[in-house]
Amino acid sequence: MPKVKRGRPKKKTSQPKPEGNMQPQSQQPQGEIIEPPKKESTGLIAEVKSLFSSNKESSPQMRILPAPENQAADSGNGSKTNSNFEETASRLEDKYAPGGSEVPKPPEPGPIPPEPPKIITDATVEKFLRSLFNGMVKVHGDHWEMSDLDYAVMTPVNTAMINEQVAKLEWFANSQNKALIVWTLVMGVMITSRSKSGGKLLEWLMEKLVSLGSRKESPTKTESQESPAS
Amino acid sequence: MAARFWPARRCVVYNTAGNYAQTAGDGKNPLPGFLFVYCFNDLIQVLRQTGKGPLRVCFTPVGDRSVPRKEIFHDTCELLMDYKDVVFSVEEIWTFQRPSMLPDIQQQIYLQWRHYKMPIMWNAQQPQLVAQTLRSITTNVYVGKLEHRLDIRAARDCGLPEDALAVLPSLPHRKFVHKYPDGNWRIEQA
Repeated sequence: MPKVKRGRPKKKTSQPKPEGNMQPQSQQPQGEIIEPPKKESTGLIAEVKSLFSSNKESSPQMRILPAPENQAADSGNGSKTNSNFEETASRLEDKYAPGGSEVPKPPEPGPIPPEPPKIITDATVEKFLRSLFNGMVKVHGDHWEMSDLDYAVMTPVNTAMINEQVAKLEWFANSQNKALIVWTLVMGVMITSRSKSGGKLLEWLMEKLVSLGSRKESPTKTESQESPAS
Repeated sequence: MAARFWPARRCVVYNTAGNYAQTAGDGKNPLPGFLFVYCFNDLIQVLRQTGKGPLRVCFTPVGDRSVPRKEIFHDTCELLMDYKDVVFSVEEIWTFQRPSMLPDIQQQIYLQWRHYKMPIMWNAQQPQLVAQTLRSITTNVYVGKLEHRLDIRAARDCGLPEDALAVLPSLPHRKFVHKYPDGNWRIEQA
């Protein structure tokens, strides 16, 4: 039995065919090396070839782009500093010069803000205060009596407070029941100040207000804080 | 920090808190050989006269009271970006930034310092106040004794490993943890 070789059969050695040469070999003289014809490289191939070309002139892609002015300034050009620095320096010099162009000027005084609307006059407030404290005197004693000097001090302060604060109360300004609200407040204060319980309430409030300041200064132990055993 | 910028051929120190002085005294660090200027225009003159030569300037921005301090700092940044080839050392850098916000010009010089040949050096008593971006891109880090947990957390942002962070609260006086760009660290004497 003939021995059968397994695997791929050996390739037959043949004359290398020159690529792209369409002429038959018989027309070529013996011993002459047939070179492939030089193809005109175009498009992307030409661009890639030009990148690896040793001749720099033939590779337009490899030319060195000029550096920006600010980066090229390091190369010695005779001047001490570069032009960008000079430009920035002169601009900032103006800014930091005494009385420079960019020195912030003090703001000009704007229009005077309008005074808050006068909701109540001094005369009305004085009458109200006199009525209030007279009622307190009748019910609770002479220590509630105020002199004219006291009213002269209290009246403008109260008027300013009412004018300022009431103007800020948007709910009051938008309300359609302003008269009712004012009436309730005034009558409530008047009646409360003339009743014993109301007076006591006001005095209690005053005591609390007065003691609030003194308690902050010297905190003392109250009965509720003591232990039940003591 | 002075020991680190001392070898630089061209250096501008931004003396924010006034810790540097020409001579020692009043708890200030001496910088002999440095030219001290106090107005922005004086700084410009010094830079202009020096040109491309060696430069050692300590700028204490107290002479221009009409300009906000952050604006002076940013103008200095802009000037040095155009001046080029200079080490810029900023004291208490957190004064000009927020932990979560870096102004544009600062971001530009911290991230693109190679364009301007302008290495930045900074210090801060409270690292937690320094912008997080700056902390994270800083390469060489020196950290002294830190006890506040937020400061230690900020040191972690600087790339300090956990074992280095653990020694921070117990560091002796004038000793620092030096973290190298490759992540290694060791304790060094100031």
